[in-house]
Amino acid sequence: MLSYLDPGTGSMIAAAFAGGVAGMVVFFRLYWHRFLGIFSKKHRAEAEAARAQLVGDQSADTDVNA
Amino acid sequence: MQTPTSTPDPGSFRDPLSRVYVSDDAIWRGLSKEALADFEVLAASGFFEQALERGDVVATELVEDVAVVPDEWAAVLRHDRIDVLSYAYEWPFEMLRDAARLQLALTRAALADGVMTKDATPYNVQFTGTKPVFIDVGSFERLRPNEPWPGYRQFCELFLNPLLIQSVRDVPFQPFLRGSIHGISPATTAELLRGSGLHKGVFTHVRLHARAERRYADADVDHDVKAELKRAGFGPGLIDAQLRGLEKTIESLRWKQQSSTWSDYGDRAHYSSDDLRAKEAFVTATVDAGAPPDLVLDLGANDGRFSRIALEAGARSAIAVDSDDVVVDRLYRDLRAAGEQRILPLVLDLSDPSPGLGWRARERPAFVERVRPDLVLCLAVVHHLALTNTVPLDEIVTFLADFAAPLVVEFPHRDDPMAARLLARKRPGVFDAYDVTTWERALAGRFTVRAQETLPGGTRTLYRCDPA
Repeated sequence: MLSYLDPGTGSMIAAAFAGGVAGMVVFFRLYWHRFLGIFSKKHRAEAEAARAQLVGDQSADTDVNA
Repeated sequence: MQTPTSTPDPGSFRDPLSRVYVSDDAIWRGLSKEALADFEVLAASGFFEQALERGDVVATELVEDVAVVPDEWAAVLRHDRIDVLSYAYEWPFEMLRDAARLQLALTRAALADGVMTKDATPYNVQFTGTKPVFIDVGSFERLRPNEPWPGYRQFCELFLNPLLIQSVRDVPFQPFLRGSIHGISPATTAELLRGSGLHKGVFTHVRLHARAERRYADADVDHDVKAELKRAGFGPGLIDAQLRGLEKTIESLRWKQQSSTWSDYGDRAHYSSDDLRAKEAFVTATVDAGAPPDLVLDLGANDGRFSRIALEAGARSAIAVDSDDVVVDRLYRDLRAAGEQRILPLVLDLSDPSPGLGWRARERPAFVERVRPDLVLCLAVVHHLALTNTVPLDEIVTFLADFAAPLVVEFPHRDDPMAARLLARKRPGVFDAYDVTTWERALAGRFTVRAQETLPGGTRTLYRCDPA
């Protein structure tokens, strides 16, 4: 259950910056997750789709955002 | 006396989890199941009890079986009423800063007890005299793991950015806050502060904030990055550091008008001391005469002298209104230093008083609808309204009658030095209607004059009247 105010992405980023050292930890974790994501199933699916588009394989026409 | 009512207050709809209902003696808040769960955590927390004791949060209790509130709600809270509601566009700089201090202090204290504020708006703070009181108990919710402070952007728009433009640029914030109930966005503030050099907090809370908002304005990108940020986790340590940073920024603000000496402030050189004494005696006699008024509205209050005189004569409280925000800021700081909590100083241009604002223009009611005084003082004001703002005398009387209260009003004649100075700037013939006869005819149309007295100087007349 979220609050009725939706904190925008921009505000969240500014908030992390405003949080000093604790905010740096958040950015570190964010990039670490992104780095780990390179090896994830979703990332592999995206890579497959990109390759398929380049090669022109119709069967790989999957929605990567699903 | 509880008067049954089922119409919620038009200013309370933004948060769907609770609504506010108003009766003569109290404010009632209907809580949904979700909001009740939040309140139970809040009520058990140490900080809330302390805040209630200090009077930082409006007196609140959980009540049963209230006729006032429809039974669709899971529970009902009862709050004490605040005498006079005022809004940030009627506050001078230091009042908004004190409201910001309270918002941050409460949020930090709450955080330490596992509670968060779900929003951050000066509409959640009211003043009893010079004491800021947090009124929106529905704003407290359980702290949710990995979530940022939801009120951050709103805090910037409605507290920090208005204070910044006034302290850095000497641009008054009141017209901006009256212009938009949402306040001043980071992007607008960044433009207003462009090229202003280095000021504490401006880089992060304004420039970076505005830039990041522009960068992530696209909804798809927005969703992903937001999810990633939440996964990376906003801990209480981060939120506290953010709040501490905001506190330091608010404390660092310096508005140059606060340090300059104001030569005209409280200057009554145009009065002979006899005139002033007679005027004070007239006001004292009016307050003394009947039952002591609960609330005196002092229009054109300047340094609040007549508000204080009304209190000395037995009035319970006063609102001191002036159009000059520098003067009102000075008065607020004087009253705060003296610990005087019976006078509420407000910035208001009588020729353009606060209208209804927000959703259907009802969310924040107009000044005249909100304020129900038992006595109106209108001293050294009529000639300014009539000659500077060119409001006809009968219109001025109609405005004063809108308050539906007894009135003490001063009329400077054409030969009064101050009135003559204003008339000298006008083309001859244009303001011929400005005279005692026209004034008294206008006054008699709306009021019954009980007493009148011409000051010893012979150029000003005071009237004590009741609404007709």
